[in-house]
Amino acid sequence: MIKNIVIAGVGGQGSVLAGQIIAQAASLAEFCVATSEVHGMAQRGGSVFSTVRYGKDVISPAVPEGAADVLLAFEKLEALRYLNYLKADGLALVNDQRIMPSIESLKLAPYPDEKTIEETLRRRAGMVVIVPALAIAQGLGVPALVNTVMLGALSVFLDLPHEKWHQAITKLVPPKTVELNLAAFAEGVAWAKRHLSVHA
Amino acid sequence: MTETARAVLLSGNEAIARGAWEAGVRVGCGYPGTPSTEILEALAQYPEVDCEWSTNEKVALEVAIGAALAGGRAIATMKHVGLNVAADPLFSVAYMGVNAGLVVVSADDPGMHSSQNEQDNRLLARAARVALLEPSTPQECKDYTIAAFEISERYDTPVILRTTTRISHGKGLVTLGERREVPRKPYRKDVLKNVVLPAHGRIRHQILETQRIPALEKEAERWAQVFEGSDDLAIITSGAAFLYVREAFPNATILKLGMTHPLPKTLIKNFCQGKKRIIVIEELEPYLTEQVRALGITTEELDLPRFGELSVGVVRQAVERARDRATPPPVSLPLLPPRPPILCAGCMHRGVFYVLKQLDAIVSGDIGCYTLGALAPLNAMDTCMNMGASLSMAHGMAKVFSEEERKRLVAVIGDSTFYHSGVPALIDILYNRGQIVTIILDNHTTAMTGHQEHPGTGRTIRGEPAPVIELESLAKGLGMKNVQRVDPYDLLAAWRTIDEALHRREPSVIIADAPCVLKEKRRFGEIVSVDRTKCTECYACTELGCPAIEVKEGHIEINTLLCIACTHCQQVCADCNAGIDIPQVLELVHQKRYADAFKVLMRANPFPAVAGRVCPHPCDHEVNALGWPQEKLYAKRYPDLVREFPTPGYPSKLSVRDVEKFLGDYGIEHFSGSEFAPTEECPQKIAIIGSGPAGLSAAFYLRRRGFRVTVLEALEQPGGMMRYGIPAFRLSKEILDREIDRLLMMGVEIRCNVTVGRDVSFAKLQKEYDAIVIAVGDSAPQELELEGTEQIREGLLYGVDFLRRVNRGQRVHVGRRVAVIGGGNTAIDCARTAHRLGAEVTVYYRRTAQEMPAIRDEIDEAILEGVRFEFQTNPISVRARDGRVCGLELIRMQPGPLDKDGRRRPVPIPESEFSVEVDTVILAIGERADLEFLRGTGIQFTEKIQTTFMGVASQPGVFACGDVAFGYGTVTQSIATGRRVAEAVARYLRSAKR
Repeated sequence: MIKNIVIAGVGGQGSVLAGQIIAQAASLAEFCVATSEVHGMAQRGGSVFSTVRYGKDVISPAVPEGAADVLLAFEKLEALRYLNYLKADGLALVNDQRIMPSIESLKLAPYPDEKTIEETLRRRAGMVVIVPALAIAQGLGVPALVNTVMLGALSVFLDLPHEKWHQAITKLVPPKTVELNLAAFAEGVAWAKRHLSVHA
Repeated sequence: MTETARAVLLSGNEAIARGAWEAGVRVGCGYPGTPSTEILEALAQYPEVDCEWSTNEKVALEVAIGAALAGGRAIATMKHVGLNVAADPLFSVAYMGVNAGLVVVSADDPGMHSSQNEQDNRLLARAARVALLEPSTPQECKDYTIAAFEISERYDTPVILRTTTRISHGKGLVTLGERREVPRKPYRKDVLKNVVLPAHGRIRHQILETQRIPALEKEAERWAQVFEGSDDLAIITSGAAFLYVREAFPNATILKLGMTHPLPKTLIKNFCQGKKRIIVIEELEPYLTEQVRALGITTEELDLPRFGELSVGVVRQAVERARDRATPPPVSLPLLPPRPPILCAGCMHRGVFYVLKQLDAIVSGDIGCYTLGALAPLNAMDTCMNMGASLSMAHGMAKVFSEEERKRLVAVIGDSTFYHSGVPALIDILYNRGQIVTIILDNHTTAMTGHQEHPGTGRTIRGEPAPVIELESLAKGLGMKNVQRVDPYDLLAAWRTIDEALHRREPSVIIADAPCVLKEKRRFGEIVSVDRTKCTECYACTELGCPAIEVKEGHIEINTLLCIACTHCQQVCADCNAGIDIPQVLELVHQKRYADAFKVLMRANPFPAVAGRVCPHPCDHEVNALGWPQEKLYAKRYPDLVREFPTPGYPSKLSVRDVEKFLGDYGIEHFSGSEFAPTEECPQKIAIIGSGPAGLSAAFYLRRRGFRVTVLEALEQPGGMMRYGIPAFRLSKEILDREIDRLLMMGVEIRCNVTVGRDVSFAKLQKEYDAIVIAVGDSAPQELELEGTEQIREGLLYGVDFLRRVNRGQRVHVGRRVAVIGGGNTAIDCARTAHRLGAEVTVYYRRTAQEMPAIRDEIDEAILEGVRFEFQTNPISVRARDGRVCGLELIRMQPGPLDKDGRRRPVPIPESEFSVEVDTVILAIGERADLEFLRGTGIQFTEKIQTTFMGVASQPGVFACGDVAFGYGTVTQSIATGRRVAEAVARYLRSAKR
């Protein structure tokens, strides 16, 4: 069984690093892993999309449209933009954050309102989980931790062992930030577990 | 295979670097280019390898060839278009062959994620007659790289290792090995081999075709893999396409080709023997397909696109010829705003491009971050083709351009790009007597690809100190006389330098010098914030396209997380109601270039003679809405203009409004209006309802774009508030007429005495016109409940009606004593008009003097003329005799509770009533829109028409501007909204045309 995860975000949010952490955790858990990413324009505020696939025999990093088990989105507009990669009744795990595109973009189309976003997500996802990751990260004093909080929430829905996540984070984040990142991860886990028990 | 001590997650690029290192490579060269850049960056981490960022790909390949010739294994890395630059040495070394192994990496980019094209370099390998390997996974990237060196040496050929973005940037598990220290091959002089004289070349070519290629064909068989599956479907594929094929058709029989030039012809023929259905699946060019068919094999026609990347879905669909069943039908998404890359907040390029936009330059651009200067709203690039083309193309354009076009022509190139291939072009310009102005954008790095070093940064690829090839000295050394530096954060200085250079009839180089703000994260000063009490919402700052400037519910806000206080927006902001580029206008007037100044004015305001007389001139703030001390700067820069256009009462302060008036009058004298007629006509028709400042402004800017514009006006003459609201003593109707005439000269049609809703229905207009702009303004008065008004036949008027009658030339009797109720511009205009009709006038306003919203100048003028003011008073009832007004009962007011707009609502002071004798009461407490004609059309409105910040209303094709939508209440701000809505209408019509 191959697990397909697509990750959508805005340049600068750390979504690419998040994908690498997932890949590393899966690899440490003895899975075969393949990833793809389109970066390069990321630093200039563009839309960023990457994929992680892991399983027994994984060759291609490409996730076909409509085949992703999880859409991990760091921003709401990007969640919509890549929604069609999610399989029918898949899981949409979305950070509760809106980052406005440029004024010129908004001249072409307005940022969809909250109602439209929820409704559209539900047309494909079987489960829509809006994670207040930015608020949690801000609560820890470092908004940049938003990606690790999201990973914590994601980990509750995947089958990768807890220590592998820890090892992956420890390996990939700057050494001075390991403790903070692990704390952020724990917060994400705790939030997701609470959310699941309430909404089960 | 899972990650162990010897197997790690690597990207394709990292794996290539690792493979080269394990293969004992000694020399690595390249030029940054997505998706290849990381190969050399990773390789440079290994101390055993001599790595360098070469000036360009040709040099990189030549350096690598030299190293290989000298006996050390060498690798050159580049993106697909980089191979074009390196094509000369590539084609030559194919004949020469190698000594030690030579590998050339071509990282192609199907889908053009970050490239100027998506050329398929398998074709180049074939054309050059060199061996070509196409790995599909990171593990293969490593293995193929090691093998490539061996193949290169065994068969005496350069080897191209070709990846695509998917493979270069994808990650997978790779087993690691140890470095083989390959002994250096001895160097032996071999003139026949290494000197490509024609006589030698003929022999080398024959050897290549008769010996090397057939030998490689045999070798290619080792790199073909067959995946056995069912008989029904046999697929031939390679590279990234293999990954999609394997996913889409796990049961098919697949021939995966690893070496795709030359092809293992015999093996392919054998594979296809007896297969019922043979298809070739590849990305971009039918490179394999054509060669397989040339072998006499029949492969099925497939509907594979020759552009863009493949995907599992596309592959399935092409083969099954039906919509891919496995993929669910797509969710229909609302139209989403795109999120493309844009210049960073504070980027130095933005300053230069903004200035080029101000100068209306024709810009020959180049490849780099700065290519983004082509995007809206800067729109400051006419062409960008390939690395280094900016200078040479400009030189070519100048040979054919008119004098006027040449005076606006500029070449723009980055620092790294200039070293790459700008130098030969500059030599050409100097040698062949071109007069091009070249701007080098020196941000001290190769930015777009991730901040790599280059010959000007002073550091090598490893960060070690390196000599700096200094741009200014380089240009001067070539013989360029005019070399200047500018600070791209000083917009006026940059404007002056570039403008001056354009007027010289000599070639010049201008170096815009400032480090990339991403690389050297710096804060210039205080983050900008918007003073809402000053911001006119003219949106001039948005012309910069800075991502830190946001619009929220129509208001300008600065994103404090992004802003680095670069000061660009602060310099652009002029607190102008209409959004005029005041800094440029002042500079041009200072230079006595009145016609140019007038044309710049007209870009924002088609009624400068009007505005120069009636605008409330917020531009004279000491400090503008973004915190820039503009007044001080005007006075310092232009003492001559201060002397020529002093502010009445403040002789050391420049009156920008008087400059505008001067230019407006100049424009009336020297321009008929036909100069602004469109150069190309569009057949689409637009109806504009209302000929006030907003409607006529929209008409001007839409007509300028070539659309057919019809303005419908209910009254007898056009002008709206400009004619019927503002009294003649403030604005002469003749001046207004002359400026409206310009629109007629441009071909705008104005039809008066047409009331929409009565003479023609809105629905009919929607059928007849491709777009409608509603600009009816606030034409109806706000009504005031007063006791005693029912019996009155004479002496009680609403302000707008009163002014309209007087401005129409009707005789209005106001008697001896007039009371005007209200505190806005209409109230003041009524007061001064009534005074001129011979009455004693008192204005009664319910708040304090300081809170009066009317233009301060007008209040002052009214006082000087003898109009009296009584503040904090409100009328209660009117007294009449025989149906004629004879008196007014008022009550005194005091500030009460806080309203939701932050002001204290005035409340009556109990028992403070008083009475006055008056002949006429004029009620001027405000205006509102009359939107009856929209009832039943479905267009959303309450007190105003609901629109986006651009004036787009709730139905497609319907727009609104001016007070009816925005309610700013001034002529000049309404003009700004007219211009804004014109942009939205044009965008709508252009996309509707498709």
